[in-house]
Amino acid sequence: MYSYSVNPVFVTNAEIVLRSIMDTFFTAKAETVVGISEHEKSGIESIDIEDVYLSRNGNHDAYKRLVERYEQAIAKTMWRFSRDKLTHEELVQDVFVEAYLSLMTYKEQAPFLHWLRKIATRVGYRYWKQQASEHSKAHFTLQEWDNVLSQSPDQISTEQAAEIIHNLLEQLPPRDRLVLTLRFVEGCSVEQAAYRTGWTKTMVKVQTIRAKSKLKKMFPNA
Amino acid sequence: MKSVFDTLCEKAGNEEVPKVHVAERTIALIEANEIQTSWFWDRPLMWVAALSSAIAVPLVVMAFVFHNFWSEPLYEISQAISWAM
Repeated sequence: MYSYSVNPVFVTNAEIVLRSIMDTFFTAKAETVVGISEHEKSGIESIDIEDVYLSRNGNHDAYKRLVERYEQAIAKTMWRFSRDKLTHEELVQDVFVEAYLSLMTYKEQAPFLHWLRKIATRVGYRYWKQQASEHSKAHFTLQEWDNVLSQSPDQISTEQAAEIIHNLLEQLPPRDRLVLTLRFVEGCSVEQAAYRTGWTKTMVKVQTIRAKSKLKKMFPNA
Repeated sequence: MKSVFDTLCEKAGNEEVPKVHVAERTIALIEANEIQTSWFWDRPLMWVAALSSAIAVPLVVMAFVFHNFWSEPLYEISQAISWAM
């Protein structure tokens, strides 16, 4: 099994700072417009804002509280990116370390969890790209797909379904895999997917259509 | 009618996810990183190195500009003409 061994803090610090600056300049406007409704804005917890404020001032206990509050939610997101327990845990940890280093860029316009999920998507996507460059993917053959088609969907458990979808999407390039995972497995709307990826809504729509047709070419009747 | 892919995705979305407990380790990593960063800036030699680099860089740039100016091929001719006049 693939081991995710990059030390997140020491390797990606410069990258994170650069990305934070880019985020501040280029996506701040999008963040206020795309994907965040008035209803969601009202979901901003004052307890989170207080803990974020304390964390920014170096209070580690406050940040620990934030991690404990959201680690299971982020774990659910990161499980789409890796089904290996060790890698999964490291990815979750990376998300929180990266979030801590980017805390200054969090504007209280969206719930903290939404902002965390955006970082989680970035971390997961980076992991997939790294995996793709190392050509370390599991194979999923047409025969395996035929076996899936021969079964009734009711016979397939949620775990099996997740495993099949994970292996199936692994055959696609990371970009296609990301958009299909967000739209169909996570159940994100176009707006939410655009917010999470930092793409435009049009780009999300186009990418979804392209990725789906690619998948259907590779696996008929998908 | 839903495709097989859609049905599987819907099922996959309801999967039970393993629990994680990363709070302690995350804080430990952050603290280790902060110690390393402060250790770097606390050392007087690091400050000296940073200061001398800050002085050296503009000096090198100035030297490069002057060198280019003095080694200009037309410079000697322009000097000679100004002397003759």
